[in-house]
Amino acid sequence: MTDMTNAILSLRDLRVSFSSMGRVSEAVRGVSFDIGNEKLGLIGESGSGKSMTGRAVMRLLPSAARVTAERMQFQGRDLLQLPEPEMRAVRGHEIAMILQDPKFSLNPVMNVGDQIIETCRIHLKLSRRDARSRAMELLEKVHIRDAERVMPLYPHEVSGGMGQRIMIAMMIVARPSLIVADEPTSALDVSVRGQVLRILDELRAEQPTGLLFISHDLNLVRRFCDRVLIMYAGRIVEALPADRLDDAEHPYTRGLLEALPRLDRPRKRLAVLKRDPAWMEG
Amino acid sequence: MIEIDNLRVFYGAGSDRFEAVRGVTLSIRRGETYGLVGESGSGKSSVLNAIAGRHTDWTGHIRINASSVGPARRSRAEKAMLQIVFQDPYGAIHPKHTVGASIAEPLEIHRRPDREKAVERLLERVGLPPQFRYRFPHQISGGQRQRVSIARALALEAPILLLDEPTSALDVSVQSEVLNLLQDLKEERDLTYLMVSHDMAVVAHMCDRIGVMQGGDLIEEASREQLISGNLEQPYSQELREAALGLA
Amino acid sequence: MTGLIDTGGQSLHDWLIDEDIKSRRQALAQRWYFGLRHLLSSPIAVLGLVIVVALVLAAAFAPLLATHNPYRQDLGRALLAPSSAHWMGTDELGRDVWSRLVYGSRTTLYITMLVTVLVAPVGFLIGALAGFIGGWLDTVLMRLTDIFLAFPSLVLALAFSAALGPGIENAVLAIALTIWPPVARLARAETLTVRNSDYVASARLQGASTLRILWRHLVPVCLPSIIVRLTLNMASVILTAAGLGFLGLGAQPPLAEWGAMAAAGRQYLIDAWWLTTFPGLAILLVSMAFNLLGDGLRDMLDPRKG
Repeated sequence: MTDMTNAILSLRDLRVSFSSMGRVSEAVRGVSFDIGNEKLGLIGESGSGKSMTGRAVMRLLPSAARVTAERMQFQGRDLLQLPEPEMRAVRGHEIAMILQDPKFSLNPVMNVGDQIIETCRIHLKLSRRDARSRAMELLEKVHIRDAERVMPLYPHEVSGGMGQRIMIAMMIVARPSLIVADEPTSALDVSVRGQVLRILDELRAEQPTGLLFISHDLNLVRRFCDRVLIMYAGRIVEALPADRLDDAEHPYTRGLLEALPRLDRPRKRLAVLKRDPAWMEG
Repeated sequence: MIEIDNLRVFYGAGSDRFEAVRGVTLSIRRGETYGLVGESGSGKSSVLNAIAGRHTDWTGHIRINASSVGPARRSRAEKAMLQIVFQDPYGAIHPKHTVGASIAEPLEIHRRPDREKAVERLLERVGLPPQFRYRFPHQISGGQRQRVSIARALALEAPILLLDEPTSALDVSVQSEVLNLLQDLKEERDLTYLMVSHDMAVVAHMCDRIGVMQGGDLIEEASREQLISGNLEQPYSQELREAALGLA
Repeated sequence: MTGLIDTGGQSLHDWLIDEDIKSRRQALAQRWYFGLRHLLSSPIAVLGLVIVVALVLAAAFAPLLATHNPYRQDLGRALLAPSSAHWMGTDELGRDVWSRLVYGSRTTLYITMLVTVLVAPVGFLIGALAGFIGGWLDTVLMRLTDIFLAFPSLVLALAFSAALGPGIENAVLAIALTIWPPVARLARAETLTVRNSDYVASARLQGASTLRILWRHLVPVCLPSIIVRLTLNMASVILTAAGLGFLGLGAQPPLAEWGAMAAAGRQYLIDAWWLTTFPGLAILLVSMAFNLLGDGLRDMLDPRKG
C-alpha cells in the first residue's frame, strides 16, 4: 500500500448507487484505494463497476447517480465537496481522462490541430503563434512525426491509434498529476497499442503522475501496471502487485486466470468460472 | 473442405476501388480449425466475407467441399454449407424477434419439418434452458446471445462454421464458456472452422493451423506448435504473438 | 381478470412481470404491458390517449350520444344559441350541432384510418425497396418522393381532389398521396441502417428471399417509427381533411364533417359563433391529441432508447 503522505488520490468507501422505479441498486459498493506515483490497474468484467469508479473520481456520472465516500482526497482537497466550477478546473487540468474511443472525446467539427492549439491557449494562455508551435511539439512528443499533415485533419479522418495519441497530446498540455484511463487501448490494434502505452510511460517519466488504468485485459495489465486491483460486483476483492498476479488467492481472480487462454501456458480446455454468491460480500 | 486460390477482394468502385485482399491462397482440411490472424485492415474479414458470399466483388477460386462457388448468387444448397457466427452479439440477432424465432428462421427458410422440437434441441445443445425461446435479445446477456447465434448457425447442420471474432466482445469468463462450447460442438459434429481473430492467444488455443495476414497478404502460415513455441519466421507474426503475451 | 388468460396460477401482474417466460403469448403480453406502462407514465401521452379513445368511443356510440338526428332539418329552429335542448346550438338549417359533431367524429376517424391503411404499406414498400435494393431503383423512387415533397401538402391535396372530383373517398386518396413521401423517406432511412446489420446478413446467408427479409426483418424494425410518424401526421391529415371540407372539396353535404361544418358556419360567425367554434375546437383537440400520443409513442417505441 502506498503511504498516505505521497498518495495523489486517496479513496475510502466509495459508493455509487442508482435508484429507478423506487429500487436502489448499488453499482460500486465500498471501494477504497490509494494511488501514488504508480500505474494502478483496475481489472473487472463488464458490470463490475470499474468504469463507474473512474467516472466517480472525475465526477462525471449522470445526475441520477448518488456518489458517497468517506474520503475522496485529491492532493489535499476533497473532490466530493468541491463546487462544480472548481471541479471543472480540476478536470482537464489536474486530473485527465482517456476513454476507449477518442472519436467521442474529440470535437467532430473542428480539425485536430485547432483543437490542440485551442487547448494550449486556454491552459497555457499562449498566443496563437506560440500555441501552434507548442502543439507541434506535443504531437512530436506522442510520436506523430508528420504533424504538419495531421493538424488539418478532422477526427473522423484519423485512425484510432492516431486519435488516441492526439487525445494524449491534448491531455498533457496541462500536465495532470492523475490520469484516469478507461480501456484506452481496447479499440486499438496491437502494434499501435504498444506505442500508446510507451507514450504513457514516457509522460510519467517526466513528472510524477498517478495512472489509474481501467481494463478487462488481464495479460495487458499484468505486464504494464505496477499494482492490480480486481473488482467484482462493485467491490475490490483482491489487490496485489501486477507481477504476482499469478499468485492471486481470491477464487474469482483465480477463476479469471484459469479461464484465460494463454500462449505461454497452453491447455486442452479452459476452465469455466463458477460464481460463488459469497464473493458478493467480499 | 475450403480451398482458396489466388483470392483477390475489392471494395469500392471506379477510382476508389481498393484491393483489400491481394492474392491469398490457402486450404483448410475437413475437421480442421484454421485461424486467420491480423489487425484491422489486414483483409482477414474480407477473406471470410468472400467465402461466405457476403461480399461479391472478388476474383480467384473458392472451392467449398470440392465444388466451386462464384461471386454471384448461390443456391440454397450452397448456402446451407456454411454459416457465420458474428463478432457483435448485440447486432447479430434480430432485436424484435424472440430467441426461438431467430433460431427457427433458417429452418423456416429451408422448410425443415419439426421446427419446434429442433429449436428446443438446439437451445439445449448450446446450454440454454428451453424457456429462453420466448425471450427477446434485450432480456439476455451478451454471452447468452452468442450462444443463440451459435445455435442458429447450427440449425441447418452446415459442416462449416465461419467464426468472425466470436468472443472478442465478451468477458474473459464468458469467452471461455463459448470457446469450450465451440470445441465440443466441433468434436461432436465433425465441423470445420475458419476463425478470424486478432488475439493470438485465442487462436492458439482453438486452431490447428494459423495464417497471419498483413495489408491484404497472407504473410505466413504456421502450426499451433510453432505459434506456442514462438517459432515464427516473420517479425510481424512475432510482434502479434508478443502482444498476446502482454509484452508490447 | 385472471380468468381471461391462462396464467398458470399466477396473478396477472406477476405473470406479466415474471422473468421466467413460459410461452410466446406471455412474451408478447409482457412486451405490451411494459410498453403500456411506459406510455402511461407520461401524463401528456395519457391525455392524448384519452382524447383519441374518446374520439373512437364517440364514433362507435354516436347514435347513443347524439341528442337529435344530425340530418333532420327544422328551419323553424335554425341558428338557436346553445341551450339545454341543444347543447351546442343549431345550425342554419336547424340541425343540432352537438349531434352533428358526434357523427362528424365518424367521418374524421374514417378519413384518418383509411389514410393510415393506404399510406403505411405503400410508404414502407417504396422506402424499403429503395433502401434495400439501392442503385437506380433507389434514385428513381427517391426523386419521385422528392417531387411529391416539393409541394405544400394542402396545395397538392387540393390539386388532386379538384382533379378527382369532390367526395370523401377522393379526399382520402388526395391526402394519402401527400402523406406517403415522408413515410417512404423514413422507411428508407431505417432500411439503410438495418440493411448491413449482421442479422440481415445472417438471414441472407441462410437463403432468405428479398421478400422474406422485407417482411420478417425490416417490417418489425421500421413499423414503430412509421406508426409514430403517422400518428404525428394525423393532425395534419385531420387539418387537411378539414381544409378540403372547408373548401367544399371533401365531404359533401349533408354528411357531417367538422371542416365543412366550420366552413358553413363562417357566414354566421358574428351572430352564431357556436357554428364555427365547436367544430374548430374539436379539430384542434383531436389534432393535438394525436400529436401528444405520437410523442408518447415515440418515447415508448424508439429502439434507440433501448
